Amino acid sequence: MNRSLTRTGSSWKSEAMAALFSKEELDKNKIFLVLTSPAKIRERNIEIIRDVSSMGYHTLVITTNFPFSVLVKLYKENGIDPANVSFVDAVTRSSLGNVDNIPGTVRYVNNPANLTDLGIAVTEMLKEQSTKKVCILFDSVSTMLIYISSPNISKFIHFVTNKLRLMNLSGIFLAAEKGLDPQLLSQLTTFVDNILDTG
Amino acid sequence: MSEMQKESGCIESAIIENALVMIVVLERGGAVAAWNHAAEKITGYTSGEVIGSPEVWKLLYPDKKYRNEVTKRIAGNLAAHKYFENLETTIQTKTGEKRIIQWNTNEVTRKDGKYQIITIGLDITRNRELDEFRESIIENANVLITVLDQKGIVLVWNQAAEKITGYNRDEVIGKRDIWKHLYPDPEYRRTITAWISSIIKERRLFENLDTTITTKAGEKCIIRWNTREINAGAQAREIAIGRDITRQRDLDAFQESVIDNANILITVLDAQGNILVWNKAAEAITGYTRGEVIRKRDIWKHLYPDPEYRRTVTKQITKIIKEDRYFENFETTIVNKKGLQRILAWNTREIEGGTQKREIAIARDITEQRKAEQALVAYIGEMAMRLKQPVEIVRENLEDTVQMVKAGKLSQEEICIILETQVRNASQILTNIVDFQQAIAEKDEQIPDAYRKFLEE
Repeated sequence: MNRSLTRTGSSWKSEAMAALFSKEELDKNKIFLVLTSPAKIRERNIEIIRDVSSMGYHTLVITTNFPFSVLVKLYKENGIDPANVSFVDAVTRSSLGNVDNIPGTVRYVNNPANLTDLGIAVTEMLKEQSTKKVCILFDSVSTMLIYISSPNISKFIHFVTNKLRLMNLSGIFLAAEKGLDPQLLSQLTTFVDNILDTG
Repeated sequence: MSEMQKESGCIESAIIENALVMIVVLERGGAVAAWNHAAEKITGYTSGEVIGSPEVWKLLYPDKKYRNEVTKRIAGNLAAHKYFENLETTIQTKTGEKRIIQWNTNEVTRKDGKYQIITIGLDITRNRELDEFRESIIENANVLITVLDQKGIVLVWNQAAEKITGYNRDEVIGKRDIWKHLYPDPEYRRTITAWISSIIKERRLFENLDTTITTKAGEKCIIRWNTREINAGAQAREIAIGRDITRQRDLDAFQESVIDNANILITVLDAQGNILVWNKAAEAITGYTRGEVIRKRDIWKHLYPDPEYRRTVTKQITKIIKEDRYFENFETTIVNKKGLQRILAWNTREIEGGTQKREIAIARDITEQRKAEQALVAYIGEMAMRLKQPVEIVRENLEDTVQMVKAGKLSQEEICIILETQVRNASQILTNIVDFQQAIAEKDEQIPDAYRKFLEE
C-alpha cells in the first residue's frame, strides 16, 4: 500500500505507511479527521476499516453515501470481515421506505439531515457494541454539507466527539480535502486530536 | 484824542480786522460801520461793497420772507435784552453758497454817545454739517444706538433702536424706564444690572455683552452690546451700541443642532489639534463625552491605544494630508471607551474659521457594514464549499456505481438506492444554489442567523 500522508497535530508525515494511525493511538481513544481527495474517499474508507479491524477494533460506520448492503459487499471484496463492522445507514430508508433495523448490524435513519435521529442511532449502536472496542467512522463530512450548514455540522461533530470521549472511544471523520471552509476546519481542529491530510 | 486813545483805537481796529470770526459794526439804522476780513472771506462781499450801506442784509438774505423773519427775531431780542446770543441764521454768500452763521450781538453806546451794534458771526456751517452727518450715521445705522446721560436718561434712540425694540423715540427719549420694558423679568433685569455694574466698575465699558430683550411686541431678541463713555462738553455720556444677533444665534443654534444631531461623527480641530466640536454621534461611537474631549488633543491616544497602530495611522494621515491636504474614506479602527473596536471611514476638510484655519473631520461608523461584508464573503466561501465538495462526492459516487454495475456487483435494488440517493443529493444542491443566489442578490440579509453566529464564535 502506497499512501502520501501529511499529519498535523502530533505531526508526522510519510510517503508510505502501513496505517494512517497506530493501535496505540486508537487505544488512547484518539479522534481523527482524515482529509482525502473525493476520488479516493471510498478507497480511504476501506483502508481505514481494514486498518481498524486489523487492530482488533469493531468499526461503526455512519454512511451518508452508499447503502450499508453495498458497503458490506465492498468490504468483503477487500478482505474485511463484515462481522467487524456495523452501520448507521442514512441512505437506504430514503429510497426503500420502512426498512427494519438489524440489531448489532445496522440502524437506518430517514435522511442525513436529521441529526437528532442520527445522534440517537449512533448512541443506540454504541450501546449494542458496548462489549467491544469500537471505533466510529463518519463517512463523510463532505456529503453532510449537502444537507447541513457548517454551523450545524460543527455542532453535530462536537456532540459526537463529546460522546466518544465520554465513552472512551476513538473516532475518524472522513472529509474531502481542499474545500472545507477555514472557519469549519478551524472548529473541527478543536474537536479532534489529529488531522490527517492523505491527499 | 490823546495818544493813548489813538493807540487803543488802533489796537481795537487790528483785533477786529484780524479776528477769525465775522465782526460787523452797525450804525443806528443798520448801515455797516465795520466789516472785517473774516466777514469778507465768509460772505464774499468786500468792506468797500458794504460799508456805509444797510443793503448788505438784502444780499445775505435774498429771500424776503426769511429776511423779515430774521429781522423780526433780531429786533425782538434787541428790544427785550439789548443783545442776543447764539442766534443761527443761514446767509447766502456772493457766490450763492449757503452758510450757517451763529450770531452774538450787543448794543453799545460809545463815549462820544454814538450808538452801535457790534455783531459777531461764527461760521458753523462745517460743524453743523458734521453734526448732521453724525446724526445721519447714528440715525441710519443698522445697529441699535442709544446715548445716556449720567442719570441714565436716554438722549439718543435711533431708527434701528425703534425697529428692533418696537419703542419709538417719543416713548424713550428723556426717560430712563426703557430698560424695565426691555427686561420685564425683574430677576433677569437684576442679573443684567449686576453684571453690567461689575463690568463698568472694572473697565468703565463693556464689550460683546449678550442680553435677551423683550420687544414691545413681546418677542425675544438677543442683543450684543458694546458701550463707550463719551465726553460731550462738560458732561460724560454713555453710548451703547446693540447689534441684533437673534438671527445669527438662531442660525448658529440651527447649525449646532444639525451638527449635534447628525448620525455621523463630526469633530472640528484647531491648528494645534485641540478638539473644538464633538457631536452626539462622536460621543455615541467613541463613548467619550464632549466634556472629556473638548479643548484637549489626547483623545487619539485613547482611540488608538496601540502605539504601533497609532504611529501607522499618524504616518498615513500625514502622508495623505501632505499630498492632498485632505483625506476621503480613510478607514481606521478605533477602540471605544468600552474597549470595543469600531471601524470608521474618515473624511476631512480644512475650513476657514475667522482668522484661524480649522480642520473638520467626519467619520462614518462602518463596523456593521464591514461585518456584513465579511459575513457575505464568508458565506460565499461556505456556499462554495457546500457546492463544490458535494458535487465532487456525487460524481465519485456515480463513477463508483458505474464501475460496480459494470462489474455486476450491485443488485437492481442497490442501484436504485444509490441513484435515488444521488438524485436527492442533486436536488438538495440545487436548493442550496437557489439559497445562495438569493443571499447574493439580497446582500447579507439572507445569511442564516446560525451561520452569522458561527462566524462570530
